[in-house]
Amino acid sequence: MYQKPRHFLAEAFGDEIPEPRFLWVTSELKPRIKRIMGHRLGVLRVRYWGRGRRTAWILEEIGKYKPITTGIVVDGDRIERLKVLVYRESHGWEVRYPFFTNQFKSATLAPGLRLDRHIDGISGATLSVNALTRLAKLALFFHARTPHAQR
Amino acid sequence: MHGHPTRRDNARRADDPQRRNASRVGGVYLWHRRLGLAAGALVLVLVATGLALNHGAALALKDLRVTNDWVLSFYRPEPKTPPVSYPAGGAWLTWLEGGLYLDGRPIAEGTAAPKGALALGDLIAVGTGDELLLFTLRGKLVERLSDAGLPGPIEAMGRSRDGQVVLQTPRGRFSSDADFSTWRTTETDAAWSSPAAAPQAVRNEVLAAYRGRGVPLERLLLDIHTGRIVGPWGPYLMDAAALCLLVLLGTGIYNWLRGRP
Repeated sequence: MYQKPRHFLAEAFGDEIPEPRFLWVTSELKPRIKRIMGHRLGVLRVRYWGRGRRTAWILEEIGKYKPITTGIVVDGDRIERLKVLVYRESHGWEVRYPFFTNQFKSATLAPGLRLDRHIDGISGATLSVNALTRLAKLALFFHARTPHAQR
Repeated sequence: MHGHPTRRDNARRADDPQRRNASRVGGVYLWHRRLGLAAGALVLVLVATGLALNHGAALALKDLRVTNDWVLSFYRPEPKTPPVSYPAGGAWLTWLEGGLYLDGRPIAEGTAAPKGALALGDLIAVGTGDELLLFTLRGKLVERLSDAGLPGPIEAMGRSRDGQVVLQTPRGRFSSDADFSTWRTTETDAAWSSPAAAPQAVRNEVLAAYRGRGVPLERLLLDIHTGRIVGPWGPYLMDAAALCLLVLLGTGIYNWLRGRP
């Protein structure tokens, strides 16, 4: 574990971490979630923390065999920060370094549920790179469906 | 002229090329018959299953399922460990070799053995070693809290007197509100969730669900066709049947060329 979720949230919101809220995975959202992730989410709700125009998400996606726990902060409809909180596999952990995660800063969702930029991969960590890219898109997608999205 | 054949007569016959030839053909014919009888049943199986598989799409073999217990016993052995059940409100949460069942209905797969289950209003919380799963009362997965969101590996799960969920971990005891957003250390005691014997009807349903919805007919036919259904040596048996067919082809042609029926 590189960082506890609580500490990640404290970095995002300071000492006053807002109460978690829930985004319900409705039937309207499911097809686009599946398009982003390549599979169903399998849960009925996703929790997030929000204040103002900022939301924070703790999301997981499987790299090769095990889930990668990732914290993503979205502010003003752009990714402010993406951080690997827990990496459980023996390969591909290079994705946790800022040289990789900084690529997501200011990323936003483009038409077609794509990111507005290309993310450079890491040799030997393709699956982890892809997993984090999917999570980045998912966080942006979810953020736009919360009351904190830019109007 | 008439009488028993002499030794000279027999020797003359044995030397006769026509007679020698007739004897050889007769031998081949006999083996052709024996091989045909021996391999007949297996060849029949090969032909019948092969024909069916060849038209699998038209016959919708993938959509038809076989639920016969005897057939299923080839595909799903009995569980190696007994199911473990926890009462949760009025329902039973059962774990069996990675599968979670709510009152006999499968609700999750690939989970570790639970340490406890609690009914929390309209949710059921199940704590395994490294995650907390929240289900609706109908068994839909609401949320999955991984180890990243827990205070530590769950050793036991319970409820305090004031209704808070309490987790016992190697790092101590923690309690949380209904949202599981914050975990606080606590010394409070709890009514710990512990396994109990579920009603027989629930156990039966769990076992029936464990054995699955049956096996697709296409798969069954394929396994019979290849011999895999009888075990690791099954394919060799079918190989032998196929080779017998080949030999039968050879002996059949030979017999035909030699003019024997």
